[in-house]
Amino acid sequence: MTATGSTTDDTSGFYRGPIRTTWAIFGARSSELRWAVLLRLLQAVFAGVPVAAVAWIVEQIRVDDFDRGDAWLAGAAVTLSIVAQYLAAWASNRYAWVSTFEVIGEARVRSLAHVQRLPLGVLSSRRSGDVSAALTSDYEMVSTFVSTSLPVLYGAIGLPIAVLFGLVFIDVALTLAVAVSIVVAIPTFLWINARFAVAARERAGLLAIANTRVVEYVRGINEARAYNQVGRQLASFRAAVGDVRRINDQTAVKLVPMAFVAIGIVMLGVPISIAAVSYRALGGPVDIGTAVIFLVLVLQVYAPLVQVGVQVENLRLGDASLQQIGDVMDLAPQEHPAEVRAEPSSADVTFDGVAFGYEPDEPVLGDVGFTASAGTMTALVGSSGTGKTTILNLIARFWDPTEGTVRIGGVDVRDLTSDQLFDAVTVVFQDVYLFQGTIRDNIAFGRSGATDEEIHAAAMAAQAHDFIVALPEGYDTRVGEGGGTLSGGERQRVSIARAILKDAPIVLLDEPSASVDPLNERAIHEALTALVRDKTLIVVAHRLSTIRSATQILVLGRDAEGPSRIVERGDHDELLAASGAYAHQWGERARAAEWQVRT
Amino acid sequence: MASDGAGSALDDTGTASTSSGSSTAGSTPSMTDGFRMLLPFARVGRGAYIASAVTALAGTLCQLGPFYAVYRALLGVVDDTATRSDLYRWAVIAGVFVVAQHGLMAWSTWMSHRAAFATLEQVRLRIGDRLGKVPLGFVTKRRSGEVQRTVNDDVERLELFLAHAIPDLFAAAGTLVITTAWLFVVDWRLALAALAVLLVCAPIMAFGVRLGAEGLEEYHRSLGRMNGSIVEFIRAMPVVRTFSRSEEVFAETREAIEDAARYQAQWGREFLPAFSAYYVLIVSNVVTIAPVGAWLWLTDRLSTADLLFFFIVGLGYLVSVTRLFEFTSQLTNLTMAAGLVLELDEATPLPEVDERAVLGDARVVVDDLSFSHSPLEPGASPRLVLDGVSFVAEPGTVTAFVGPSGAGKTTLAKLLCRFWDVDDGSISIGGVDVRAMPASQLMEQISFVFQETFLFDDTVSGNIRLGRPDASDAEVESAARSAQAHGFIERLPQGYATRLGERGARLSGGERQRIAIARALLKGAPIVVLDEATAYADPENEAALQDALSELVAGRTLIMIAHRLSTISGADQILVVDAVDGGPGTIVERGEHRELLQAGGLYARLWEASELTERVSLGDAVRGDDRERA
Repeated sequence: MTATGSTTDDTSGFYRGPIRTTWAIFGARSSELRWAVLLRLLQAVFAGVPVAAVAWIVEQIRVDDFDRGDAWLAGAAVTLSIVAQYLAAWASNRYAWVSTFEVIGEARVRSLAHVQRLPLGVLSSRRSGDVSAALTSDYEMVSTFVSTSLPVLYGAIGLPIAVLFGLVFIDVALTLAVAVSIVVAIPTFLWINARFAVAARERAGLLAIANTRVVEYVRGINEARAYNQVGRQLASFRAAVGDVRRINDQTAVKLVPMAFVAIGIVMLGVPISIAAVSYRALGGPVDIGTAVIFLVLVLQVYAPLVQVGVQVENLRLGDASLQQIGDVMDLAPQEHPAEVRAEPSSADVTFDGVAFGYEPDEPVLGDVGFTASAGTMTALVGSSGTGKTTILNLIARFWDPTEGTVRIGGVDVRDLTSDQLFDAVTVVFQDVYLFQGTIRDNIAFGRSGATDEEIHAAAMAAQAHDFIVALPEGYDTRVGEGGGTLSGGERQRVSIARAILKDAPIVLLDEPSASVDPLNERAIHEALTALVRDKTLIVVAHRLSTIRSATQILVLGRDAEGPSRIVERGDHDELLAASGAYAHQWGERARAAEWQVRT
Repeated sequence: MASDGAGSALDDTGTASTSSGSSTAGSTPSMTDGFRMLLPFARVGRGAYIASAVTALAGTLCQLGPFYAVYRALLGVVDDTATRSDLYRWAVIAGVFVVAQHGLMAWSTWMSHRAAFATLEQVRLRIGDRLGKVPLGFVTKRRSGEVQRTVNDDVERLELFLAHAIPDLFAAAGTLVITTAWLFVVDWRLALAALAVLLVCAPIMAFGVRLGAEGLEEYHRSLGRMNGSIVEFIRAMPVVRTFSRSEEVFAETREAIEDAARYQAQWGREFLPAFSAYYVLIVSNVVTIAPVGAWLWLTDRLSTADLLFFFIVGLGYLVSVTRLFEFTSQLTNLTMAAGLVLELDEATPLPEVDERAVLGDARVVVDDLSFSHSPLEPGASPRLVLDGVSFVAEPGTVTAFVGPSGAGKTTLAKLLCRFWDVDDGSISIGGVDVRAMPASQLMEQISFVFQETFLFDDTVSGNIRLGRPDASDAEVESAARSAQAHGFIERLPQGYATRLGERGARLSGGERQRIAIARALLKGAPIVVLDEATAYADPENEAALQDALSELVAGRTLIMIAHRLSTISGADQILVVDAVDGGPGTIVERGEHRELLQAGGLYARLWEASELTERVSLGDAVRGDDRERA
């Protein structure tokens, strides 16, 4: 499965136009899609039989040679063709539907495998919504497009070609007359489609701006009311809503007439064909029987092309979805060695000349170097936006540095297997994530095969056991996804219990700063204390007592436009004595801690 | 959401009857609900909708033109009466009709688009209007996202339906009715034969749909599970990978995907035989027209001309039935946007008085208040959140709420600002019940600063000036200085003219709060309500934020919620709110800091907990020092 996945995304990206990308998704199962198309064409050919029969009947009537036997023959041919059409349609749909559903399922799994290899930073950024959409609704749209529209499109194009091919043998000039409108319509159609795309993009851009203003009103409604400014905001909302209408109107003026141009050109083949029949047959070189055939067939040639128009919308939507999926599939995965190359010699963490930026030309961190020795605590402080959390993220390989190396026990983290890395490192996130499942499952997640005793012990150390057993179903209480069962502080303690059970030698902690009540705060603090005992702790620190107790404090800062770097380092007493940035910040924080509100 | 709207909902009877069928809770509302809901909004474009329909019908009539021309040409050729000029005439007629048909359809579609856009505008304006009137508590943080999605996306999706429904519906139905009628006029026996396939197709489709229904339901369920599993997979990835459990979780999600594909394929297999039969037969009325026509012709009961007419005009025209089918499946879009409009209509505005009240000084009196939240799920009974709460906040004093999370402190603060109305008891300001003054007068009396502040997509000065629209630049700057915001504002690229909001300059949590405080300072309301206003501030700037707050509350009636007890230890009165045994929140203790410590109750426990938290440090634990001390 992954093998075919890599063949599709190795050359020049996943997306290569809607049709080629679709075939690439089918990969080894392309033959099934080919069968769906071929059977659809076969069905179209069978559908030609009744039309031919009708033409034949008309011709027999014209030459006054139509009898009962002919009627039986025609009836049998028509009936047989319907049966054949049914079989072909059934087989074609079976390939088109069942194969597509299965192939899209396989493609989803491939994408899922790809997502699993993306840097964690990508998945915790704003892009995660795009990734979810690509794997769910975008693939669904592709599935609809491939199963219903693609065979129709191929069929709609194939049938007229087949009919025209047959007609060529009867009369070349008349065939050209029937074909000319189609030939003119194709470039027109392509041109219009390109215009559509441009206009749609323009509209999307304008709408995005107007929609932001529309949403602004909703988001700010309570502020607006608090300041008695609803009128002003509503006026701006109404203007934005009016803009949306205007943008849509303008786009419609441009696009709607065009939608009918191509199909109208095709249908102009009818008068052209009548005129050509007149010119060639009445007093011309062509016999009347041929004229009859062309007149009966002409409307049937154009009918399937009219259907194309209906499917074009699906083609456009499917195309957009394929591009979205392509954007996700083209994100560079993160490589982990498959086999153990080196064992970390200790739980030391070392940064050596590390630089990092989300965008290549916008460095966030520059030349960061430090060592956090096993069994010590390193506190990261600095104003917001100086990259404290980024340092934690680089250790856990949410991102990889653009320059320099991060080492654990002397080994570059990029040379550790995923298991090695995360056996060594525990990350305690600010926003707690609990799975759908019981509390027991959620804690046991920390170590596979943990016994109930171990789970209870971890919960006790995390100050969570008491509230868990007080729940009606105890450890079997279900939590997760919008689960209102636990408070924020309780969820946090369950996640710490999970980390305690894992017992990794290095703990990366983004110290909780959002406020909880003092009882919860104390319990969380106790839980963290149990977690970090005898570990290498690297913490983005908020609390004064935490900072003061650090073995080393790294003060991050940036001057003017440059990237953030370590501007001061040392323990609390040394840094205070240095009277630099840290001493100033400390003074401010100490003042904040003493503050009492007065009116 | 209308917590106390039982009586006042009656004046919205027009929508009340539809509400049972269409709720937002995922049940599938019927199409008629959607129609009835949207009809009033379509009124503005009624003329255009009607014109669009009439034009579409005219276009459909023209569509028969080329068919008739081909028929006449063929007839002339077959009975050998046609001349070249005859056929040229029919060619021209066919051409004229082709142009007319597509021109009319384009015009019809264009008009229906314009009408649809007008309707969308009406729906959005209605939502906007109502949002300004529903209780403040309606737009919670979670709900805000839903409303934003509906206003933009769901409403936009209506366009697909509204703009295409009229032309498509009339074109498809028109083709069916007009062609059928014409066929009957020409020969009723053969017309019946032409329609006969419908008699077969209808039961086949009904049978197929019933056969596939169970599978379809199963498939939709598995699809829901799959989508949930994928979204969870992606959200959980950081935790999953750092716990080295990717394999298991990947396997679970893969299974969900494979399940969905399997159920979908299975549904496909079940539905295919009937669907394919329908699909082939509906365009194959030739199977009855050809033999019946031949037989009628051979027995001299049908003229050659009429037979040819059926061969050219009658073949395959029933395909329009399929388009009618497809059209009904779009109707579900209608109800999605309609859902929110309905919900907003039901959330009746709080009763409003027009006359301004004469207020005394800024004293807040809460008397025996109780309040229940309406649950989000329909049918569940309201939950009592606060019960029997009474207190007086004197002008120029500090009243602090403390207590465990979830005890109802925030609800109490919001009730003071009339996010909702109380069920029992009363809240009065300056001696007047908050319900007895206009909302605008109440808002003049109270400033509130909550955990997070929304900044508008406007300049810094525009955002501050929201507090008092006629404030001069000097007044805006002076408010910013008092709010400790002047310094960082000056450092922004364009100073006070820098744009904020989603696409504007990025400010830290503490900086945003200081802008909000500057705004409130400019407003100068005598009562200030603070709910954890420093919660999301960056610790480095907390002191500045506190200074700003000190400026804001000086000389006011201050009511605040705080978790860090040291900040309110000097408060004039501390009210300890607790929800005992999961019941409603009540005031369990009250007094000054010292009194409460001596009482040794919940407050004393909270105080002790926060003292202990400060004493133990993580560094000691890392080095094992805390064990020795213990």
